[in-house]
Amino acid sequence: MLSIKGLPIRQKLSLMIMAAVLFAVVVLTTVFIAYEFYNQKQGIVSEFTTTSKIIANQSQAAITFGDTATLTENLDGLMLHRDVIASCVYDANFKLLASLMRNKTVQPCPKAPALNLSLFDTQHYVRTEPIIVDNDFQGLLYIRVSLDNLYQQQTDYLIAMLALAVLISVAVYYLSSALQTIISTPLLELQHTASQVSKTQDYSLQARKNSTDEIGDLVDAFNSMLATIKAQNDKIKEDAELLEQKIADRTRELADVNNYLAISNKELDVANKELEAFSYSVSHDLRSPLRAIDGFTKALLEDYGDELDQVAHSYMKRTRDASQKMGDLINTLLQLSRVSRKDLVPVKINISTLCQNIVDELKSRQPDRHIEVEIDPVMTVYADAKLLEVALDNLIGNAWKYTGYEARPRIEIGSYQQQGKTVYYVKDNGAGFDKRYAKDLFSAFKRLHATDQFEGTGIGLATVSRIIHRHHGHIWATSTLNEGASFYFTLNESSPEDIESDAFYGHTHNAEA
Amino acid sequence: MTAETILLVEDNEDDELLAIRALKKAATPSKVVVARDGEEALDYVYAQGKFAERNKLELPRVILLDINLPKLSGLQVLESIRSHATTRLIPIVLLTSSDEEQDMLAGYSLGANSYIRKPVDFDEFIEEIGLLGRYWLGMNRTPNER
Repeated sequence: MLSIKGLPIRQKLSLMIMAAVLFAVVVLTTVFIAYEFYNQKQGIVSEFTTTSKIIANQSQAAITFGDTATLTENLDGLMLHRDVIASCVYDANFKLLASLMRNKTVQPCPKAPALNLSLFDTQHYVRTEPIIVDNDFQGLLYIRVSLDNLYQQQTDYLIAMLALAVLISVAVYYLSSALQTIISTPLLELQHTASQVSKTQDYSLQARKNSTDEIGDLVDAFNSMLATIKAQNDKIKEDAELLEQKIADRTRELADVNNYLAISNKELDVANKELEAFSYSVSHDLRSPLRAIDGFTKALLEDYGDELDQVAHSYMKRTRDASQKMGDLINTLLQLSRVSRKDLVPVKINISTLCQNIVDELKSRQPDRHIEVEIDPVMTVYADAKLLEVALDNLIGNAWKYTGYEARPRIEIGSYQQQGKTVYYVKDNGAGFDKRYAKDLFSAFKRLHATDQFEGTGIGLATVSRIIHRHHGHIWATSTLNEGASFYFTLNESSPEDIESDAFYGHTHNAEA
Repeated sequence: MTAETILLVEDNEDDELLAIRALKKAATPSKVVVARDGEEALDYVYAQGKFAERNKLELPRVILLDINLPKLSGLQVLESIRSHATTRLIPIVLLTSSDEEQDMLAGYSLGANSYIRKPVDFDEFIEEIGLLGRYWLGMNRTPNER
């Protein structure tokens, strides 16, 4: 079976046709031979029934008279038939009266054969015919017929049939070879087209349609499948080209943006340089005249103080105070610009110690003020030490300043966890501020209090806010007027943008005694 | 050496006057020589140009050097003085009104002995100049003094 499966479809088809035809030939031949054999046998039976009846009739007188010579003569007539090989005549007592054998090898007459015998064994036909005289059983005729000729005839038939089968096979072979192409040719063409398509990837090929049968349908289906694939391929190609075009466009746009960014960066660098130069000259050039104003006013006071009246003295004091104030303003402005420019160098900072130092410094400057200060003792964070100090300096300094009119001033510095982040706070019970102006708190030069009440430049909280934002943190404040203010801030909240942020990650609240 | 000479290198007349006044207030018995720019300062130190007649061997006891100067900057003057064998040991105090870290770092790395930020408050200035004068002219002894 396996070998048949592997055969090409042409040979399969030829084999199928041949097998079918040969099967028909064999069946027909077998039936024919069997029928002929049966017919021949019937012929033998019918022939010898008649013959034996005639001989039996002819023998009636001879048997009555025991005329064996006549009986033998009758038998001799029987032997004229070439197939009869033995003939015997018995009297009523089955005594053999006459017998004739074709040759010596033939079996002798049986002793007492049955009456009305008519049977075939493998080699012979045996028949007995009773000889009846006036309704009396007078004797029995026995005939044995050879079937050799019958068999010979059958063999001849068989040979003839085989020869015919061979002839038919050859004829069928050629005929089927021609016939199978009706089916195999379109299939092979289809197969050829399919392999051509898979080899060349050319989906524009089409298979030729030769018939309107199932193979024709198959060709149609195949062609429409190819057309679909081609259409899809074209679409994919088109899409791919479109996509490539888009990518190229985006890449170009990106390059443009990058260029633009590079230029912007350069401009930013230039602007930064300019800013640096500007703040340098501000710090140098603006301070000089101030120093002169202050210095010469002082010189005037020292050298000519005696000649001036009290009003002149007070004017001079105001002059000196104003120049002093302007000096402070310049300093804080410079600090704000420096806070923006400085590179962040994050290190682990003990906030508690830092706050304590700031408080100690404030205390030493104003030893007469008694403020209750409470600092959470275990606060550490990764941040830029200088900037954080500036920020805390401002926040604590503010709390210190705005509790100035409080009977029992109190400052609390601590932290708590909120949504996985550490929130630090500086609370006081001082003057506070009006909630309506809370959004202005962190803008430069915005002051919510009169200068005569609380001194200040209005830059401190702007500086703090900038420091917190540079650490990717948030700052906000709550307050009730005259009951105090609370400033909250977080550090490094947003995702890291650059290396400076990495060091901050996840170290916001390490307990450290 | 009879008179202690202080070389004050300052382009701003106001600052110059105030500095001299402060030095006087601090009662430092010294002669103050003023140079207006970096070139003049080097001319004095090396006794050249308009100071060519000066005794070359008399070096200033201390130089108060402003950083922002016309022609040669204070840092260039400092570099030059520190690069000459005869002058490299003169005490030099940088004076500036800027408090930029970079100036301070540059000054110290070039070999400045001290750094004073000129404060707006004249009282503070007198205090600092006085401290300086007492330190460099009084207690501190330099290798020049034999």
